[in-house]
Amino acid sequence: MSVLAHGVGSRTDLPLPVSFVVVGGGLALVASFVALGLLWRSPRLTGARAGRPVPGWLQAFADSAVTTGVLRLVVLALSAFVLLVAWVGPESATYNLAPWVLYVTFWVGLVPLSLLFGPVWARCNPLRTVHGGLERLMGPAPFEHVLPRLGYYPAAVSVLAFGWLELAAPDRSAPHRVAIFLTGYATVQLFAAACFGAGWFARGDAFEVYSRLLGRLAVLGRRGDGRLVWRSPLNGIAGLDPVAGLWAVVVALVGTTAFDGLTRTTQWQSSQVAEQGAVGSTLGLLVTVALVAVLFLGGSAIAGQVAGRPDAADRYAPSIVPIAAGYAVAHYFSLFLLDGQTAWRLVSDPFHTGRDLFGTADLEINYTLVSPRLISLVQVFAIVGAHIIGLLLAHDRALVLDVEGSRPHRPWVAQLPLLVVMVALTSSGLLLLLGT
Amino acid sequence: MPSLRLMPAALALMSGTLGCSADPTTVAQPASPTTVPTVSSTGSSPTASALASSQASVPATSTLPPGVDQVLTVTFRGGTVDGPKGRVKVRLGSTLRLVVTSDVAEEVHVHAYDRRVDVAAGGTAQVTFKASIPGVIEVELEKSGTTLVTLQVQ
Repeated sequence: MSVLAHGVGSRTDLPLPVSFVVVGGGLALVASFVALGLLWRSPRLTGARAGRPVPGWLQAFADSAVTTGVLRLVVLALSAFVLLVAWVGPESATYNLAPWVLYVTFWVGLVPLSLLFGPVWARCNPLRTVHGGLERLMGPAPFEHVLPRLGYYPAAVSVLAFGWLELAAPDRSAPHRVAIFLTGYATVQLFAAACFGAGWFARGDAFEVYSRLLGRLAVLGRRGDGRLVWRSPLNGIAGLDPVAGLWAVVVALVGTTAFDGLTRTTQWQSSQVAEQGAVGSTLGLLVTVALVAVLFLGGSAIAGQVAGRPDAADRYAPSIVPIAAGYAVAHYFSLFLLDGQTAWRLVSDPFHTGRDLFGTADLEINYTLVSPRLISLVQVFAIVGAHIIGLLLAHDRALVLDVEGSRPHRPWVAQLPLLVVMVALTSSGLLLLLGT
Repeated sequence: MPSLRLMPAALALMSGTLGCSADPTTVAQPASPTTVPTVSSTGSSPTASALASSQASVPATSTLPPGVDQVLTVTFRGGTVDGPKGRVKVRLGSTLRLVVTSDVAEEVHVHAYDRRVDVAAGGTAQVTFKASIPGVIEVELEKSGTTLVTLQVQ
């Protein structure tokens, strides 16, 4: 049994040098104390009201029906093509592009794309395109009024389902498994959208929700009034509505990535659990997500008690979004740049018939494109940078809850439990990279 | 902000201490006729360590083949792997030879390097290559998906 957990990939990163971990952890701790003592004293983030409008032509281009239409058609065609290759293409992941495109190009590529340009997948989601067509045939969704009550919980389940396929399912790199998953996933999503309406995708589609959440960190965003603006990532995240179950999605994202990191450590690979194969991995995945959930729910419950706000989990969840992004960058940066090249090679000969459509069929994968030192630096900066952004968000949120809450004002006390959660997540992130 | 003032110092510390990595475990020394570093060092079961030491006693006196810096010997028999456990450290740029014995016909695949060599049932195959790609890399029996050895090239 292969010990490489991620769906595909031929190499993993070297362990993070101890010095990197020490310096990174030290910086995170210093930043944490600064956040407690020296930051602003009354809420400052304005969320959906913040931002400087972009030039008119850019807004016109982004809002144009032509842009949306072209994007949707291209993405729909590409998705259909990948699904076709998954079903009828070569049987081995060595020659079939589908596993590489799903696990690396798409899932990992969604991170930089969303961090740069915002919620791109919401714009071009092929399931939305198909649903739009089906809706004309079937008429309005019968249970649309129920959707708000579901919150983000369906998305948390979707994230876990994909996480399980990617990290624990048997034969997960086999093109046929990928074909079955994609077809099953699309069927379930389209059925749910037929019941709950197009709004379902923003609450139940793992990929769209992921892109929407990370897209909040982009400097290009949409203000509450619909205007496209340049804004601080802090305001982008602060503008996120604390819809029920937001915490569950964020915890599922952090937990699955953390488990991916765990499976790369020698400690996991030599453990009894790992020897159980898919059962062990499934168990490991669930336990890791559960641990993150207990940590986060515990921290936010205490913080909520202090501030006199019982619903604190969903209100604090946005400040964990940067940490989910940081984990993703740290764990998948090298996979995207190195093994990601495989998809470019395979796309020239998708059916393994000796073709060379784009002249990349003989592309030799350059595994020295980024040095181990650069990879380590990106990893530490991603984890520590995410920690600092998360701290600033949690700080402002604590001030807001303190103003709204029923207890006497003591925001720095309310902030403390979340600070502990973040320090725990950040140090775990660094330790996982140290143990790889 | 204190954290900003600390940054240059922290960065200097990072780049300054980068040279010394986490674990100074020996890797093969080229040039001099050293012993073959195939002894498994970590986490072996009693039987595995007995096997490893009996293996090690044979090549311990022999010298490395010319042009090869490190030799790893792995045996696949009855569905189990006998060979170095855990991560085997390989120096970036050194020449590595893998000697694989198997009781079933298989294909040995060195990931990332994409080196493949067939081994016949009951036969031995070897593959020699320059360790030019850094990272953690698996050597796998392609048909069964069994990991033979994990290399840590740095």
